[in-house]
Amino acid sequence: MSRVFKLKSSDNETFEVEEAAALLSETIKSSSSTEITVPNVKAEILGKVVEWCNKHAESEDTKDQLIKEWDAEFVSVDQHVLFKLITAADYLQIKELVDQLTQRVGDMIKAKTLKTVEMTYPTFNVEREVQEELKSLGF
Amino acid sequence: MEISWTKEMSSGSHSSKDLPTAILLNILSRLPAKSLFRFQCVSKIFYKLVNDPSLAAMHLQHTDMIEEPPLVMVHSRSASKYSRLMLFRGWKYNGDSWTATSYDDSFSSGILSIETKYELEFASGGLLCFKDSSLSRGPALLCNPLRGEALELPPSNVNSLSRLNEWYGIGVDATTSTYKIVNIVFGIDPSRSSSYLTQVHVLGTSSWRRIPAVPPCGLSKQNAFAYGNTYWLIGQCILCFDFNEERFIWTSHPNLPSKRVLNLLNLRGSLAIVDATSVSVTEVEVWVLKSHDKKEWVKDYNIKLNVGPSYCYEWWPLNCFILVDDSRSRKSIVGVLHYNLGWGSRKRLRCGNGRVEVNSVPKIFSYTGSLISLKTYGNLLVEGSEAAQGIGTLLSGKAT
Repeated sequence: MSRVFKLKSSDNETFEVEEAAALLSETIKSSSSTEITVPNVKAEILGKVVEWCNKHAESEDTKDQLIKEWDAEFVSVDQHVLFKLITAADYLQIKELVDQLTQRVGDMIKAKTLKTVEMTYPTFNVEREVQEELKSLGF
Repeated sequence: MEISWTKEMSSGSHSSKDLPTAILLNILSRLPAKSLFRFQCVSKIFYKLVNDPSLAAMHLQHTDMIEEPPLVMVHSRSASKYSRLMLFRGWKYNGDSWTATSYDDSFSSGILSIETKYELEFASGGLLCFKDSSLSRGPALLCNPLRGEALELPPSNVNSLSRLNEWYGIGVDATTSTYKIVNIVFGIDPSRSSSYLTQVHVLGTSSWRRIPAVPPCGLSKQNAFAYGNTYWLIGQCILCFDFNEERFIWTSHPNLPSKRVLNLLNLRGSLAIVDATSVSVTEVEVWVLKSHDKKEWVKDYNIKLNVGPSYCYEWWPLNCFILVDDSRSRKSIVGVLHYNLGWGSRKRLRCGNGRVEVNSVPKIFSYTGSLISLKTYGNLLVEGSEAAQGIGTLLSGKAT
């Protein structure tokens, strides 16, 4: 009889996950309780992560062509969804999902020129940094 | 994929937490070294990330996924004071045609002069290692041309007089996350018998440490770096030096009939052997170690190439570089042929006048850049010092 885990999103929605899928997450694996709250991750995103886990728990062989195609489609989402997924997967410590997502970001960066990356990549907010530098210099 | 990010950020709909550094490094480790070098200049945050010590190791793991064609180098020593290191640019296919790409603007196609006493031992993990083959057998040099850095390895513990031959290999110890260099010496010991001696140097320390393990036989000039270890091709067999356990292990090899012309190399992260034995027409087979654990070798390519006597091959998916013997009259000359396996065409690569006279058997290497910063491991060679002058042109990237 496999256990059922409950994952709660930041907007209070609960997802029930079978043991096989849930244990893909190192965070869940090392947790003592079967009820885990995932802070800062909304239902929409958590739902997608659960979907990935369910898909990967089903099929043993991750090198299977069908799974690869499913994975490729899974990561073809908008940038902001992608970053939210990375945050969630990182919190839950699902290595394979993190690798797939970061590879996708890498591929997207490679497809653009440097200038575009600097302007669209949110974490590297160059404008803000430059403004702060100027402020500290007294401008 | 054009999304106006700044709008998203100010509207607050995006979670304002920045991605953790580990994730950012994970993403950057999947990009080509050349691009990462450019990223350094964007902002302080980028500079810190690109120079983070753990990035170099992560980047090394992903080299096989990065589709940047390698820089191909040919080194052969000559009788004169300086020998030639020929560099050939990689070729890139953009879906339509093939164009030559220069790996880095200052370190691209050309002929560089290296003092003859230095022999290029390996070009692995993004680093070049030059061993001193002269009688004095001085310390070896480790060089990262992309960063323009070179480091002198500590002087060997073995008395130079008794050294007859020596080999170097590079590896990554996964348990301690450190880079190590192994040095195997074949020499005469005090009791006048010949023997092997192995020493290991951990980058960042100041000496060599002797280890009890010795190779079961002499090594060869054919080495390859894969899975964090160095492999040598000895005849038909492959000997591996495991840097975690610090011992020599025989690795499985495809069962090929004897007397073949073989090259051992790293193809997209996996160990591969190029079998180019020819009678009239060269039929080239490329065997790849598909599964390291299962020890399975699979013949990935089987191609007929029309080329005369050749020395060795470098292989990259869809690109094959062949070092051919172009000898005329009494001069030993080599040239490099490039085969586009996608197009099925071949082209002679130009480097200077395209042909270089050689005195010793030349060797071809493929080099992919790495971010490893040698200055974290020791004092870099100072410009003007004797050792630096020996490989000076390699560091400044000036081609003659």
